[in-house]
Amino acid sequence: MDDPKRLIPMRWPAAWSEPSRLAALEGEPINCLLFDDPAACAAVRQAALRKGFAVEQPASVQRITEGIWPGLARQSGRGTVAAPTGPPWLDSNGWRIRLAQTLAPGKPVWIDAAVPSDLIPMLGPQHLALAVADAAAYGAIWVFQPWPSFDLASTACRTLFDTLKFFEAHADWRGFLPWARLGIVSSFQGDSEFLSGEVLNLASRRGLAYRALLPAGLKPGALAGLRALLLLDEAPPPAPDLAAIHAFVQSGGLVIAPSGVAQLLPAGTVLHNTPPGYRARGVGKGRVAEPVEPWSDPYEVAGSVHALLSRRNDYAAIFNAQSMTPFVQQSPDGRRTLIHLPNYALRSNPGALPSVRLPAAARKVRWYVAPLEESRELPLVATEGFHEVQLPDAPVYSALSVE
Amino acid sequence: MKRRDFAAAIAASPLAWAQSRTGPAPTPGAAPTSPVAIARCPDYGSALTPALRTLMDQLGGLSRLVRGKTVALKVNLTGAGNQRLGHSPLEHTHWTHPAVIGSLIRLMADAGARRIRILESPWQTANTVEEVMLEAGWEPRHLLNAASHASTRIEMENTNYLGQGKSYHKFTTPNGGLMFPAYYLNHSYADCDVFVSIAKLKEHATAGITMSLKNCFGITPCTIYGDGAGVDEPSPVPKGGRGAVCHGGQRQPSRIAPGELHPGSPRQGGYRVPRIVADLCAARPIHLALIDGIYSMTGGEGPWNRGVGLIKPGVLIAGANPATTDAVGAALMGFDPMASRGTAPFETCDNTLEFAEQHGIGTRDLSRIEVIGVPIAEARTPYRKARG
Repeated sequence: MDDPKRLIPMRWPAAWSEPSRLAALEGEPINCLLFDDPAACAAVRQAALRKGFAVEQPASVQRITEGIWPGLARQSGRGTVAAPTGPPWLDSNGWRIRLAQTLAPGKPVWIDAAVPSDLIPMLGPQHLALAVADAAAYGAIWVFQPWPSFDLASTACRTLFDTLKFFEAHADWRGFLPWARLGIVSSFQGDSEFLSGEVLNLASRRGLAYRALLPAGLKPGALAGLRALLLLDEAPPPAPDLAAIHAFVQSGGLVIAPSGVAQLLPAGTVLHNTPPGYRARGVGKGRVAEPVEPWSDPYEVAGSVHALLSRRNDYAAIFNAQSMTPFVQQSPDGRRTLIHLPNYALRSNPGALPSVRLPAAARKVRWYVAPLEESRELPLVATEGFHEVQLPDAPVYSALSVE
Repeated sequence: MKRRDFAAAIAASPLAWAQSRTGPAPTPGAAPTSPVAIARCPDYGSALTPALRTLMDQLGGLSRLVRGKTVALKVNLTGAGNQRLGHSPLEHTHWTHPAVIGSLIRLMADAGARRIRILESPWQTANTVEEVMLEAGWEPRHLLNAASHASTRIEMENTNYLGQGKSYHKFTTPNGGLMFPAYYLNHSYADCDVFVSIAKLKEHATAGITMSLKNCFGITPCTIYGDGAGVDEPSPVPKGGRGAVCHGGQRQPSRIAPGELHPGSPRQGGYRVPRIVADLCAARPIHLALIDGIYSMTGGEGPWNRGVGLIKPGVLIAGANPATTDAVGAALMGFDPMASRGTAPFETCDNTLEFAEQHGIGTRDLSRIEVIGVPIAEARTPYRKARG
């Protein structure tokens, strides 16, 4: 998935015309400069090329994905925004990155999201660290875009560089795959674009273990490890893929689909005790569930799908993580599981530190905190049929590596 | 009336059992009384079931109450399942411990209960109670399989919406009601022969204390009494908490249910919640109150309150009358159940026990309540002192 030469970009402000500023980047991870107007910074551009930087124009970089500034969602002058359930909305690029990776497998993803102008006066090192971590946890790179008054020698910039170094030091994590029990299937375009994108967003927020799939890619291998498929598009999948879905449900999988698509699957025994607004039937060893009314609210879709799938299929139960979006990955050999825990509140609550309930098979847990280089083993506390890990304070980003 | 008199008076039906435990019909100034049993229990291990069995035997035995009956257990799973006080499991602080629920199910199944239904209206969701338990790290199968034999059916239902019923059931408040003349509830509260409130021994930010009575505040479905309830008809799924309708009175319940009796009354949770709780417990009588005071928390009803802490009172409390049981529970927390507004723990609220007394549910006067087992003085763990 990596570039042959891995590029770590930064947008160079047009107002910075002095090549001497490049000295601040020497020995740091950034190795690619993006110039919106190359003519305005010709001297810098030439000096950068001599120093070995890659130089590009943003408009020509296809790997760039427009992102959002990560953090607690804010309304101008009204503080943070709460979700219907009470916890705050979180703005994260995680789902965008995972969608971009599905649409263009193997291509690197750069997230372009400038620091909001009203945040600049109060910007701290932790804000930049979170911007880096929010992209890097999902295998992408945040494109740093300093503003003219930004000081490349500041503490904030030091933290930014150190956080980039942290993730470069864990390059192997980029080869980990999402640990998934649910396949979310859509073209993610056209009429489906809003609903499917928001379902990905809210599924991430719920910690649903999903991977995004395209309707024409439902080969048996693509469904390995999945317990459920959520088909979001009203249009039925191509016939071969419908056959794969049929086989999936016959062998014990759960398929959740709009009525028009669900009716293409065999009839079966009516099942009771479904979430409100759904009807379900048993087909083969599996189940088919369909909404009684067409889907309209992505929040309710994500919640009811989680209920249909059951939390029994979550990898871990995570407590006091209302400001986090846990993202679980597994190493290709299946021996290591990684739980990314970006903290969008940028602060911890000492009275409500997170804890994680892990499967009983967990034997060893190592805790990483960006941008620190050190990691440490955390003790596993045995509970009934499970292991728990009690997490120390980590205000921006931490990760648990579970063996 | 002494215990032996009660035992002699117990008849076969739960209603008779409850009536026998609650004494004579209410007369002004003399609400019924009923014994309350207290047992020491240091943790949720092997001592729990024997302690619970002793409590039930001291109250006259479960068999007469539940044999051949459908039993509804209202448990306390307040708040979100993923929110803890520090690293402590929810059941060690503000949720009824599953071992207490499981032990009671086992004893009731042994006593011949035909069907036992675990009920709760979980926070802002129409998910099954099983899913809510999974979110908290519980294994609901342990409860569904808690009976030692297969002849007792164990089920769970989320009562925060219509659930598995065809319609909501109307419960009329005796004596006209203090806040609402009637309440519309999930069918589960009507489709049972025996109603049990299994609570936690806690303080409460709005109501001062929460035990078996206040636990029943959560029987109101948020599809009718929630912030996002429909104006005319109940919403299909619960949205929001009970802040606007019940706590603050900023809006009325869905029109399917009657509006409040006194629209000019204070719009304060400390005024409204105690009255609603007493109304609910009068409208839907409790046959058995069980309070988990083994591990708990001080300073509030959940980790969302400020200044809360852990406490281990190491007690179980049970009684056939929720008012007398909660009065004893209040005393065990170091509070005077006769206290009025302005006095701890009712600094900013009215005393629910006073309204329960007015409704004729039971007395709060400790001098009129027989305590069985460990005396109050020996089992008391003052919560406010523990907070420091």
